[in-house]
Amino acid sequence: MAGSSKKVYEVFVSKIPWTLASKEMKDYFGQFGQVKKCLVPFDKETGFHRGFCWIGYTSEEGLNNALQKDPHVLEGSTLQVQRNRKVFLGQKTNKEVVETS
Amino acid sequence: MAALLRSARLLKFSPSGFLQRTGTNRNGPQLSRLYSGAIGGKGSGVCSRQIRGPHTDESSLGVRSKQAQQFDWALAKLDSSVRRTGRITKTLLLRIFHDICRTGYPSGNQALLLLRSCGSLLPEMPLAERTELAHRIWDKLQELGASYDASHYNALLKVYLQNEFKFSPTEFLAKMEAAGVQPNRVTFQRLIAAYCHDGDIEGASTILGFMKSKDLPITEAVFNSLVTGHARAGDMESSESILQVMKGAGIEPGPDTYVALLNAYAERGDMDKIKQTLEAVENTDTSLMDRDLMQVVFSLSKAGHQQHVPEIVERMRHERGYVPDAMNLCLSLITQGQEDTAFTVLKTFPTLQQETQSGDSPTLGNFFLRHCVNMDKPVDKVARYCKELQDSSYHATPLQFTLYCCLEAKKTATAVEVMKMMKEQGQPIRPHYFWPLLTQHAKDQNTTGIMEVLKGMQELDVPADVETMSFYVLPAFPNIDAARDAFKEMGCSLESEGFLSSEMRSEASSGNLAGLLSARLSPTATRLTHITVRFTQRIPSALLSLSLTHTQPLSWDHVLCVCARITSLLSSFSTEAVSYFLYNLMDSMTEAEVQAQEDKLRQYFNQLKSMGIIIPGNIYRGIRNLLDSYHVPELIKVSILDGKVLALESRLAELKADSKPVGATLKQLILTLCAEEVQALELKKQHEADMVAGSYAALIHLCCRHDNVEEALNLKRELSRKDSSVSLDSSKYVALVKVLTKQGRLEEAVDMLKEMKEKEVVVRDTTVTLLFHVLNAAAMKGDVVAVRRLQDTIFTLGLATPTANLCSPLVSAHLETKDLGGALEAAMECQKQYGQLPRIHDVICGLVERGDTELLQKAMDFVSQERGEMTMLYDLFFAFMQTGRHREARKIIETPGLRARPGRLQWYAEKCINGNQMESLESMVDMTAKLFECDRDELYHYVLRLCKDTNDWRKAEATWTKMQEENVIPRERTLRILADILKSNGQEVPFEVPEVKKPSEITYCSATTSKHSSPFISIPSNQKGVTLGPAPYDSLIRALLAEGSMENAMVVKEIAVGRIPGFKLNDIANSLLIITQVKRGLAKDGMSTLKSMLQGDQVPSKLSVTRLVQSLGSHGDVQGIQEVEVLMKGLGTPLNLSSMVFLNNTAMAHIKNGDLDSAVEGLEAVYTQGDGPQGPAASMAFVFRKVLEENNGAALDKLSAMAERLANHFSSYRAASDLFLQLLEANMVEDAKFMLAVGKIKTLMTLIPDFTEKETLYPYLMKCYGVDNDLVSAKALYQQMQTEGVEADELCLKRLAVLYRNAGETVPFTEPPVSARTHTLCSACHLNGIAVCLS
Repeated sequence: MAGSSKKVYEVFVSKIPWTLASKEMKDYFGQFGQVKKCLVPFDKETGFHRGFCWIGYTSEEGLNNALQKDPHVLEGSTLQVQRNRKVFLGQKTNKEVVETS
Repeated sequence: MAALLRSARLLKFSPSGFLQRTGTNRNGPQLSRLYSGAIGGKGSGVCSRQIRGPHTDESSLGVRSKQAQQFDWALAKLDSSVRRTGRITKTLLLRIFHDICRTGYPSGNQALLLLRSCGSLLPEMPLAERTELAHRIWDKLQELGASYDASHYNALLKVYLQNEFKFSPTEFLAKMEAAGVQPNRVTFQRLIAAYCHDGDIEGASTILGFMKSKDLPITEAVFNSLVTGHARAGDMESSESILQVMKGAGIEPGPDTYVALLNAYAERGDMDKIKQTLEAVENTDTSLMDRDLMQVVFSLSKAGHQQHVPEIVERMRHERGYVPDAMNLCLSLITQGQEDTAFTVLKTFPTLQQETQSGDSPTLGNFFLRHCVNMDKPVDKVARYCKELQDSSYHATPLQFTLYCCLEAKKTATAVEVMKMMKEQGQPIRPHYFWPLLTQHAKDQNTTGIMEVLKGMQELDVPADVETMSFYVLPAFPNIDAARDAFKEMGCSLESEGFLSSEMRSEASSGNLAGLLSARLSPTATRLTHITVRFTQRIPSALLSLSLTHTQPLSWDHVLCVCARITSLLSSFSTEAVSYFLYNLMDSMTEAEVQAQEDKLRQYFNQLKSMGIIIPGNIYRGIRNLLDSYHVPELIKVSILDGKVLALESRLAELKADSKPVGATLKQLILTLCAEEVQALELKKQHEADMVAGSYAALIHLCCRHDNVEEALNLKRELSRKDSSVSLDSSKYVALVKVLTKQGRLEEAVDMLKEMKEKEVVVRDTTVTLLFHVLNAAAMKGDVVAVRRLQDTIFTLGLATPTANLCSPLVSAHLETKDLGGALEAAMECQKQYGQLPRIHDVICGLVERGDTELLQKAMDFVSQERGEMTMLYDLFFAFMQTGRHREARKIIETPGLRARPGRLQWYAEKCINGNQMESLESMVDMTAKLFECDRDELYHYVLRLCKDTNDWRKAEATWTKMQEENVIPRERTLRILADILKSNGQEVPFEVPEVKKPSEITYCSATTSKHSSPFISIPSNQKGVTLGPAPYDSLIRALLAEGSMENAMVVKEIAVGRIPGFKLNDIANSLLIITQVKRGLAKDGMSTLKSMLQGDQVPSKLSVTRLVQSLGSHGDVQGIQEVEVLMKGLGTPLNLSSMVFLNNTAMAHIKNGDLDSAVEGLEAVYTQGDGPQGPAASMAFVFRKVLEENNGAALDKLSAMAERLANHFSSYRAASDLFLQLLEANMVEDAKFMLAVGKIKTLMTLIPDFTEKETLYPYLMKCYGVDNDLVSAKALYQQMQTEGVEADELCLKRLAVLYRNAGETVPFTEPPVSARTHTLCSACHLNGIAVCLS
C-alpha cells in the first residue's frame, strides 16, 4: 500500500578507499553518463571521508550503465555500487508520488 | 581450525594409550594437586584472557543505575578487547580509568582490573610508561577512597615484573606493612621472582627461608623463578639442577619451568642447549605452546641473538590464537626497539585465505606499519619494510597505508616524507590527503600549523584546491586579508584557482540571501502536489517525538486521546485521510511500542469502529501487513472492518446454550470420587445416561492409574459408541499407552499412539514429558524392544520431535542390562536417525571404567565425526574426570587448540557441587587454568559455592590465594560468597566486601524518615564501630536530592565532608542538585553549580542541563542560555543535547521579555537555514505549548504567522505540524481545523495567476467539488479545462462521472474503468497540503 516509486537517478557507492575523493569518483563514474552531482561526506573531526558517496546522474541511462557494470575496480579496490535507497538526509526530494495499489 | 585438527589427530591414538596405564597412576599426581595453581606463574598471555568485568552493583538504586550501566559497558569493552586480541589499547584503558574516576567511588575489583591491565596487556606502550600509569592509577584510586588488600599489592607486583621495573622488595613489604595488609604466599612468590630477575639469589633465599618458617607451600612458580635467578647470576649449572630438586620435592617441572630454562639459554644465545631442551620436553608429559616459544624469541632478540630467531619461529605450530599472540609479540618487539625481529616474525604469519579469495588486495602487516609509525621509527626503515611486504605480495599498498597511519596520528613531517616516496613511485598525491593534518589546526585556528601543512603541499607540488581552502584553511584566519598576508609571506600564489574561488565563496556566503530564497521559491508549484502526503506523514512522527520531548513523558493514554481527536477531525472531511493517518501512525510506532500498547490500540480501534470509520481495503491490507510484521496480528481482528467479532460472540452464546448442567455436575462428582475407583465406577453405572465425555475421561485415567487396563479400554469403547466424535486428551492416551506397555501389550500401545495421531490429539510439552516417562519406565525394566518400538512409533508419527531426552531411554535400557556395546550402538543410531547423542557421557564412562579400548576408540571416532573433535575431547575429558583418571584428563584438556566451553564446564561443575565432589571439582579448575577463553572467576566461583555448602573456610581462603596467583579478577558475587563463608566461620575478611546492602538500607531509612524528621540521624556514627565509606553518604545525598530535600542533602554533605577528607558530590548528585535548585526557581544557583561541576571535570546529566535552560528561559535570561550553550560545547564528551533546547528556550526568554520579533527571528532561522537540526529533533512544539499555556495571544499570532510563512515559502512544515498538534492538545479543535480548511485553491489561483501547471492543479479542484458534491462547479471546471486545452486524466473524469451519476444525470463521456477509491487517498492528502499552505 502507498507504495511509491521514486524518481531516482542516484547510486550509492560504498567501500571507497580513503585515497579517493570527489574528483576521482566524478571522473570514474562520468564514464557511465553525465554526473550531475557527487557527494563524498567527510568527517570534520578526522579529516577522512566516511567511505561512501552518492553519485547523481542526469539520466536514468547513466544510472543503469553504472549499475550494470560489475565489479567496479578503481585503483585496486572494489567499490560497491547500488541503487540509492535512502534519500540523503536534509536533501530536498523531488520524488513523484505515483499510486500503485 | 587446522591447528585444532592437527592436535586432535595426534590424540586419536591416546585413549587406548591412557587406558593401559590406568592401574599405575589412577588419581594423577597428588603433589601437584596440593601445590596446585603453580602453572599460572609466568605466562603473560594466558592469564590475561581471564579478565572479566565485575557484574553490576546489585544495589538497585535507580539514581545510579544509568552510570553503572555505562561503566559496565566500558568494562565489557575492555574484556572483549582482551579476549579478541590479548591486548588493550592505551586509549581504551585511559578512557575507562577516567570513567571510573568520574563515577565516584571505585570498588576493589574495579581497581584490581585497572592495575592488572598496566602490564603486558599493553604491548604498544613502553615499559616505563606502563609502570608510571600503574602508579598513577594506584594513587588516584586510593585518593578516591578505594581500599587495597593483598590482591592489589600482588597485582602491582605482577605489573612490576611484567614491566621489568626495578624496585626494592624490602621497601615494598614495608609499604604493605604500613598499610596494614598481610603479604601472602603469592606476594612472597612474586618477590622471589623480582630478586631472581636481578640474579639476586641471596635475596630470593631470604624470602624462601621466611616462607618455609611460615610453613607456606613452595610451589612450581618459586622453582621456576630460581631457574631464572641462578641463570641470571651466571650459574647455569645450578639453574639446570633446579629441575632435579623439583623432582626430588615431588613437583614435576611444568611448561613454565622449561620456558624459564629456555629463556636462560636464549639470553646466552646457546642454540644447541635450546634444541636439546626442546627435544627433552617432547619426551615428557608437558608440551610447549607457540606462546611459550614466543617468549624464547623475545629473549633471543633482547639479548642480541636475533640471528637464531627464524629457527625458533619455524618450530611454531600455528595453533588456534596464533595470530593475536604473534601480533602482540611483534608489537612488544617494536615498542622495545626490536622491529627487525618483529619483521622476521611478521613474515611467518599465515596469509589469510579468505582475503585472497574475495579478490580484495592483501593487507597483511597493517598493525605492524601502524605501530612503527606510532613509535616514530625512521621513515627509510619503514619504507624498506613496505617494499619487502609489497615485493612478497603480503600487502598491495603498504606505503599508502603507512601514510594513512601518519595522517591518523597527525604526524605532518613523517607524512610529507612518505608522500615524497609515493610520488617518486609515481603514485598520485591528492589534496584531500592533507585534510586530516589540517582539521585540528583549523579547529584550533592554529595558522602556523596550517601554513606548515601548506608548505608541505607546496613541496609536493599539490595545489590547495577550493575545498581545502574554504573548509580547512580560510576559516582559521580571522579574515581574508590575514590569510592573504600569510600566503604572501610564505610565497604562496594568490592567483590559484583554489584561493580565488574559495575567496568568492566566502564573500558570497556573507552576502545577500535574497537570490537564494527566490531560487528556492520557484519550484513551489511542483511541490504543492505532495505536500499533504508529507503532512499526514509528519503528524504521527511529530506526535510520537513530541511524547519524547515533552517535559513529562506523555502517557500513551494521552497520545491516543490526541490521536482520537485527530481522527475525528480528519474524518469530518475525508475518511481516506483518517486511514492514511492510521497507517502512518502504525508505521511510525516501533514494534515494541505497538506490542506494549496493544490494549490501548485495541481500545482506540474499537472507538474508531464506533465512529463508523471504514478503512479502504488497500490501506487495511497495509495496516495488516504492518501489524503482522510487528507480530501483533490479533490487533487487526478486533479492529475496524472485520465482522469476525460478531461471529465469535454468537458462537460462544451457542456453546453456552448447548451445555448440559447434569453432565457437568456428574463429572465433578466423578472427579472427586476418583480416589475410590470402585465407587466411581458404581456411580457411573447409576447414571449411565447422564455420563458426559469428561466423566469418561476421568474414569479412564483413574483405571489406568490403577493398572486396570481392561476396564479402561471398556470405558473408552463405550465412550466412542456414545459419541464417536469425542476424543480423549493426550494425557489420557499416554496413560493408556503406559499401562498397556507395562502389561506387555506392546502392539495395543502402538495402536493407541496411532489413534492419537489419527484423532489429531493436541500434544503439549507436558505430554512429551509423559511420553518420556513411559519410555523410561520401560527402559528401567531393560525392555529394549518395547522402548525401540514405542520410540520409533512416536517419532515416525511425529507426535514429538526427537530430543536428547526422549532418545535417552533407548540407551538407558542397554545400560540397565550392562550392555555397553548395545548402548553405544543405540546412541549412535539415535545420532544417525535423529541427530541426538543421548547419555554418551555415561556410555563413555562405562567404557573407560571397563577398559574396553576398542569400543572406546569406536565411540570417539564416531563422536568426533558427528560432533567434531572438540566435543569428543570434552566427552573424553569428563569421562576421565568422572572415573577419577585425572592424569589422563589433564592430558586431554591441555590439548593445544582446545577452547573453553562454558556450558559443558558448568555442567560438570554443577554435577560436582551436587555430588559434593570437591576433589574432582578442584582438579577440573586446576586443569583448565590455561584453557583458552576459560572464565576463571566462574570456575573459582563453583569451588566457593561448594565450600559454602560444606562450610569449609580454609579451602575458601586457599581458593582466594590461588585466584591471586592466577591474576583472576573476582566478580563482586565471588567476593561476597567468600566473605560470607569467612564471616560465618568467625574469620576476618581480608578485603573490602563490595557494598550492597549498606547504602540501600540507609537510603531506605532516609526515604521513610525524611518526611518526619531529619534523615541524617539515621546514619550510623563512628561510635558503633562502623566506619562508613563514601559510597553510603553519596547514595543518601542522591536519594535526598531525588525527592527534593535540598537542605537535608546539604547537611549530609557537610557530615560526609567532616568524616571523609576530600569528599565531594559526584556527577549524579550534582546534576540532581541543579534540578532541585532550578525547581525552586534558583536558576542562578543552578548555573553556578553547573560551572563548578565543569571545573571539576564532571559531566552533568542531560536532564539537569535541559531543566536549567528551561528555567533560564522562563526567567527571560537570554544571556544565561547562551552561556550554558557555550559551556556545553566545550564539554569533552558531548551530551547530545538537541540544539532546539537552546533555541526554543531562547525564544521563550525573548517572549518573556516581550521581544516577539527576536523570538520569531531566532526560530525562523532554524527552518530556513539548512544546517539546523533535522527530523524529529527540530521540534518547536515546546514553544507553542508554553505560549498556549500562558494564553499569550500576541505571541501565538506571531508564531502562527511564522509557521504559515515557513510552510508557504520554505516548504518547511515542521512548525505547522507542531502548531497543529499543540492546538489539538489544547483542545482548540476549531483553530486546528482552520489550518486544514479546504476549498481555498481558487485563492491560490488568483494569488499566482501565471501558475503554469494546471494539469496538477485542476484535478485537485475537481476532487474538491467531488467532496462537496458540487456538480455545477465541476461541470464548469471541466469546460474550462477543455477550452484551455488541459487534458483531464482518468481520475478526473471518473470523479466527474460519479458527480453526474449522483445527480441522476447521464455521463456525457465514456466513464474510465478505474476505481476512484484507489486514488482518493492520494488526492485527499494532496488537498490537505494545499490547504495548509493557504491557511
